[in-house]
Amino acid sequence: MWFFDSLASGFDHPTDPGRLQLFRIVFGAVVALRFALSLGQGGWSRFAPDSLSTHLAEQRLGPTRARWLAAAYRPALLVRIAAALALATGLAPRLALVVVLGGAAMELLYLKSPNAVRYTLLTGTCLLLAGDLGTGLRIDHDPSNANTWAKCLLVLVTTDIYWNSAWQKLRSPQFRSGLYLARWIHVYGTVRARLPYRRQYAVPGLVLRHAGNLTDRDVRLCA
Amino acid sequence: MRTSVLSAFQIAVTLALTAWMITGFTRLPGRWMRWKMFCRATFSIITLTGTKDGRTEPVNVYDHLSPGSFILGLPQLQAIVDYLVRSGRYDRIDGHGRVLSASGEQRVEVTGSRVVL
Repeated sequence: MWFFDSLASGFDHPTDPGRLQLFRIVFGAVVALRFALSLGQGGWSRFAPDSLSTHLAEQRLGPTRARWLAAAYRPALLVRIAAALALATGLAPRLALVVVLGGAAMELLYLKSPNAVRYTLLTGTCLLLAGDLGTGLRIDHDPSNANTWAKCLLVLVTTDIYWNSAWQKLRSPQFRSGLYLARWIHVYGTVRARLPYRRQYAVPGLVLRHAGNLTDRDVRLCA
Repeated sequence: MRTSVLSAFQIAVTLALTAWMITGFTRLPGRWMRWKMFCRATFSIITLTGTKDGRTEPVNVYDHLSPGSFILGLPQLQAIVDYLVRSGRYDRIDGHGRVLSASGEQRVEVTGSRVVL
């Protein structure tokens, strides 16, 4: 198998560089979509003067750095979308990737639970270490060593997510007992009418009314 | 020579990454490489009332959460209450509700803009 052959040879093992180039295109397209969607749901107006997001940024970063972040925020939103499109279409992909990673890292400064950002940064860094990102939408299939290391790192990072996530869940009494799910459904049902973007929780009313058997009692089970 | 130096560098970085990943399976402190999705959360169901110049009105705290989440912990609740009072929108905020966390279900009060368990 190419992964173990590559490890055994110290990454001096020819593999198809096209797989990673295809990953670059898909990665760029997904990140471009994600960056474009981040303009919605109040994303564009984040860090408006006297807003809660500005207040929280000041608390977290201090007034000077919060001011820098607020000033750079909107230009960065636009530049990172352009960079993600350039990455997907293969225009100066390495430079575009550096800008994309910077734009994604910005979210660590204000998102509360940035697992998706961390995964984007880790996989993006693996991509950055590839020797042949390709140009344009052309995919090259001639075997070479150029992308072998980066592909191995991507496999490692992605395998770790699955195994570590399973490990964390096994160690979590809230997950194992189903308490997390019961509470999520209970709280969602209670505060649903007060949520500003309630349609994003794709739990159809039919499912909520007829398919679930979780009751209020279930949120009080001992973890 | 150049190839072997590059290979040694790649092996060193790969080993370092693997060691970092292994820390995610231990109790060592850290945030990266610990994929705790859906493992723990503090939920709050809370009803608040804001008072401004003697007049009161309901305050919907969920309006102030990030889109995509209704998970609300007590420090975050206090930060939102502080912001609403400091920005001059209300003189004080009061209310009550329930908190569901790893330590079970607890009653929470907001009295004079202070969150108290």
